Amino acid sequence: MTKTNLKNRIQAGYTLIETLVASAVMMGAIAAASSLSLSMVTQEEMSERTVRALNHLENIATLFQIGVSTSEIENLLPKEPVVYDILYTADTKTVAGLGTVDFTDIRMRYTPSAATSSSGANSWTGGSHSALRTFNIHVMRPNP
Amino acid sequence: MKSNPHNQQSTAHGSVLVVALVISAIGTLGVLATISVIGARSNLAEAQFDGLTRRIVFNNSKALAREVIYKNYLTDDVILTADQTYTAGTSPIWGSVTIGAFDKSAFTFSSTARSHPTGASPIRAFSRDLTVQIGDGANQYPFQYQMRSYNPALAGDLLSIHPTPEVASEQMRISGDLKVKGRAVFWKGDYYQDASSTMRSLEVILPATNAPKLVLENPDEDAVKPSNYINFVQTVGRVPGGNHYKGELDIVNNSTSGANSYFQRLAAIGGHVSADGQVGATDALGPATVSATGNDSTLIAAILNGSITESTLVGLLASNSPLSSNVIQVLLNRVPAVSDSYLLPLLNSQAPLPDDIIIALANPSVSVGDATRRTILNNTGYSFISDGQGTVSLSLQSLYLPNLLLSNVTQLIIEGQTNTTAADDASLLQPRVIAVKNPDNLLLTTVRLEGLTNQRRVALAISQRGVLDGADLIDISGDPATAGTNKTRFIFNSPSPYIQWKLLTELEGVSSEWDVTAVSTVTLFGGIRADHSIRVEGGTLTLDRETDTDFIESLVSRNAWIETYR
Repeated sequence: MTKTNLKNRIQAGYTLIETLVASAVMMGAIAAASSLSLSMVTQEEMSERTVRALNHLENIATLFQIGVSTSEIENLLPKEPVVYDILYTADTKTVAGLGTVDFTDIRMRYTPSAATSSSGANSWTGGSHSALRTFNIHVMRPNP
Repeated sequence: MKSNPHNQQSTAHGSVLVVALVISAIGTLGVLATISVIGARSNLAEAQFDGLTRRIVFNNSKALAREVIYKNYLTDDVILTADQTYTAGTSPIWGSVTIGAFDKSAFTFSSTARSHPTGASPIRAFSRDLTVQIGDGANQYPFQYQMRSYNPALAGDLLSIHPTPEVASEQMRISGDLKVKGRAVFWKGDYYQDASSTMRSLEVILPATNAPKLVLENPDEDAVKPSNYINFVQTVGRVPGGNHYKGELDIVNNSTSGANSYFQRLAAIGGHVSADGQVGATDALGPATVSATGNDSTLIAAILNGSITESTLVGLLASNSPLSSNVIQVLLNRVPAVSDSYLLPLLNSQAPLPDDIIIALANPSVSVGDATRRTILNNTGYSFISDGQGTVSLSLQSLYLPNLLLSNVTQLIIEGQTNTTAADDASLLQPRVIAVKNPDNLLLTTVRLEGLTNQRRVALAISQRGVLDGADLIDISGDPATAGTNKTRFIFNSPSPYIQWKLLTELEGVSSEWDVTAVSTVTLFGGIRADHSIRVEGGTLTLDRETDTDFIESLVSRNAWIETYR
């Protein structure tokens, strides 16, 4: 091999095969990153919505414990979009040495996902938009 | 080494690869960090469920502690010899509290009267400390509770109007010229008053939501609005079959709440005297009686001889001193009656008068002038006299006056002090409690308050609960002649037109009419706690605060409530 030929070979670019392989690897990485990104954003949104829902529920419990009626609570608190519904159910618990005390079961249902439609062929969403998560607390109101 | 183009090209390829790897590594680390943060955030969000649950349980436990203390401990005279745990729910537990042991109930605890500077509750009140462990489902946290109690009038609530249990619809009236130099507290708002009069008080509290039906002014006649302070839930003790926190009064003779009931508490303390208005009794310094002598028949014949002059008769009797009780009884009942000017020196010369004569003299039906009667009785050194016919007389200047539990009393005569020296002396005497509980259908109609003043601290508690039978009995406004019959008239009689009386009054089941006609203006240092109408007649009644609370604060009835400190 002459010195000139060797120099030309050394200075040549990547072969087509090399380029194609590199591109394939790159595309895979980008696809994985995209999927991971959607998952992370979805997870972050679910966490945020969970915290917002729980804060709302705690506000409800606090107002209820200080004696505000359930209808007034609805009027007092700003509407929280992530909360699907609130259900109050009167309950009692027996306390040995005291008797029966009044409790109220407060059930909250909220939508953890921010998706507005179901995922499908033309819609790529994180989570199910119709999924509901339920959380119950039992609150005692001071009496008298 | 000589430069070689091939080696130079290889070096260039390697550099690109290293840079790519480094960038990839950094990117990977970034992605991993982001995933880690998102994961931590998710864990935090999930942990909020447990956190919220624990906070709810913690607040439930505080509510449970309040309910336990109010229901089990505050209204009753109970102690706790060992810590007691109360739990709401099982697996999961939605509230848990442990009440620490304590040895005195709220109503009986009198050792520590702490000051409370916030103004939300009385500045001074007895405070029974209570350590309470509040649970959150995982741990317990110690809180300091205080079961507090104090008499409202001594705390500044000079007029306390409580709900009336007898009638469903309240028709209480506060009428006449009543001024309150403190706070007036209405446990319920369902009351009204005469249109011609105005309620005057420095402050007014209307705990109920009812719109005030009073024209509210301060003593300077400037309009005042009801205070809207936060109020602690208070109890006056256990009431049979009732809600213990509505404020119904049952503090005179209530066996279900003995710690806050005068008859039961004074009996427990001891040293009191129980007296029956239908049984003659006194504690004067003389003998029980003076036996008959040989010349009694002669003396009695002289007394009954209408032709003998008073001076001759009195001279005869004086020369035969000491006279027997029998002779004096005949003398007191003589018709026509012996003039006070002759009777007074004669009876004074018989000192110490025997008890049976003192009892006879105390009866208002005996034909002796009021002034003479009081002078004679005061000279006997009595502290109390029951005449056996419903009248009980008390002397507030007597060192020996005990706490009195009275029954079957239709008239009560309370003698204050007749001069300022005696008043100064009386201010140093121990405070006393006079409690009256009559049986059904026997009404204490009159309380006569005699004397220039009274500077001895005294609490007067009257219960007429069994006498009431209808709403008309509590409406004593308007024409006194047609007003309801179930009322006790407080009649002031003094040589001074402006008098000061130390008297803390608690009236249960009876309306009160305060007749100040004879004196025009009375300042009552103490207060009035009542659950029926109050009417002031013939002048002004001003309620002022009793500032000397020593000893009396542990004698009188109380309200109780709880407060929490971390």
